[in-house]
Amino acid sequence: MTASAIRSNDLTFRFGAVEAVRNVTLDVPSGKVFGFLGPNGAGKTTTIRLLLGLLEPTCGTAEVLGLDTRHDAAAIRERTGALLEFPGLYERLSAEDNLDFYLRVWRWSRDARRERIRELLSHLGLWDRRGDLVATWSAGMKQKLAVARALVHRPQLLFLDEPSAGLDLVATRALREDIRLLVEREGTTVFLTSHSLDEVEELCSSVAVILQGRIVAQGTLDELCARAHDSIVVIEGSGFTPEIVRDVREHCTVAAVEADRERLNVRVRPGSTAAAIVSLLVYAGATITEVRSVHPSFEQVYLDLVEADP
Amino acid sequence: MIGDILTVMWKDWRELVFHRASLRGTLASAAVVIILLGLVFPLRIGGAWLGSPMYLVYWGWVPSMLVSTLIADSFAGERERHTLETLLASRLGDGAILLGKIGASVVYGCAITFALLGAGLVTVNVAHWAGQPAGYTPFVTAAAVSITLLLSVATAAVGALASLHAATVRQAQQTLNVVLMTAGLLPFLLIDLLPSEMRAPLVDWAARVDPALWLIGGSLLMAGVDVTLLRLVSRRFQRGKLLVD
Repeated sequence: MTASAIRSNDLTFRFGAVEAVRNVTLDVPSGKVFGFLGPNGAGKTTTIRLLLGLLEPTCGTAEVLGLDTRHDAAAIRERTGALLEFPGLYERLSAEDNLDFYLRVWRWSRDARRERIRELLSHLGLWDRRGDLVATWSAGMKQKLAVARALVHRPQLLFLDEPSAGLDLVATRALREDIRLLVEREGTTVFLTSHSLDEVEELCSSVAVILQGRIVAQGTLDELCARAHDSIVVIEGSGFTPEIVRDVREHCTVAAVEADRERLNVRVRPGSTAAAIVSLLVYAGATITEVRSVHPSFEQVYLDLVEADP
Repeated sequence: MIGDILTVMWKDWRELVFHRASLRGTLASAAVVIILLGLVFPLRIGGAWLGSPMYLVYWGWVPSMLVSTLIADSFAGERERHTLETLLASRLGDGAILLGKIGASVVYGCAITFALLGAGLVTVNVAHWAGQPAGYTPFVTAAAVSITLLLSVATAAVGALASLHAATVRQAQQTLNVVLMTAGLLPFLLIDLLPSEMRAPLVDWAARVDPALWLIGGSLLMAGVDVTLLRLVSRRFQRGKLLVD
């Protein structure tokens, strides 16, 4: 296995006048969970389609598991599994038949198919309803089955497009645990898109953020938080009157302030330090007991990126 | 490749059989056809049902009708039910998906048609027993088999073409119906358009040609049409285009 499961260079896809994906350069490490984030319509699904070789890029290149997406698309699909925008289940078939079909597609023997289906459905608590038509199932059960369908053949690389959509809290937690175990035990690489930043923080070793088809940030979560333009200074003490808070807010080094009686969260602009603000507070008569600098949360970093995009 | 084609066929049949509403409709239409062509017609027509080339027209119409009900659903149905992209993202090759879909429809159409031929044979023998078992003449047998197979493939290929880029099954079915109707009526229209001084000698010539030659020539022509249509549908099957559509 290569060190990078996915490597793309200036990957671009135009559809008519629309540039759905623009110069996407990605480096996804093997055996990890990689988060691919962005608002709806940012180009996440199109990027996955390009990486699976379902669409041919207008320009740029991509290698998935060391294989070129233009020339080796079939070999890529042989080694990958995908849960895409929709669950992709045959609702007129039973759960057992859905899994059986995809195991037949991957040429598993009859005994191995039977064993794998029992293993997966039992693990997901769906074994008792294995013979029911999927159409009669709840959305959450279908989503669980869809995830099982994507990984049923033990792929080296798994694309999961919002896998926890429609799942309840317990099922979401179980899914996260399953993804973690899949990566730890089987060394599978997971390319995960999700709107749940909790999920991303819990599972992903590195992420990329895509906006309007362009990658606007990429790296580990810590790197992204550290790279954030603004840093946050937490000042604890007393005497933070509304007038003092107003003066802090209007200070030229300050981007934003959240305040309560004994605590100020001050977002300072790039290149600025807390010294000027501390001086201002002391001069105005506030008492300071502690000053510490923290990086913004990943959620804040992500929201800043999305909101900064024109 | 063969294994992959059979896998796709297995899935399509399984869906047909397990979907109760679809199964009810399929069984109902199959029952009507079986009662008419396996029972009523052979019962009324008797021994001529097994030997007269006149009734071959049924063996062209029946498989086309049966195949068209299934093939329209092949890609448009997967698209409508949001399963197409997942199927395309699997390891299955283009040829396996396409031939699996076409194969499922063709085998379904041919199986029921051959069952009808068998039912007609039994009905005639039971109802019109002439002291010894009667069978289809070799000409009728060969013609029925070749017409059934060749027209099934042609219908399936045209249906797959219609279904590939149709947004819904209904749209695919409508397109396919128009094409089949046009193809069925075109020969009559062309003959009708001929000047009467040409029509009479042509009909006279056609009547004098050995039926076996008609069968061989027609089958070769139809086989050519089938190959052309299969090549066309194979060229039109592009994963990216199916998704973008």
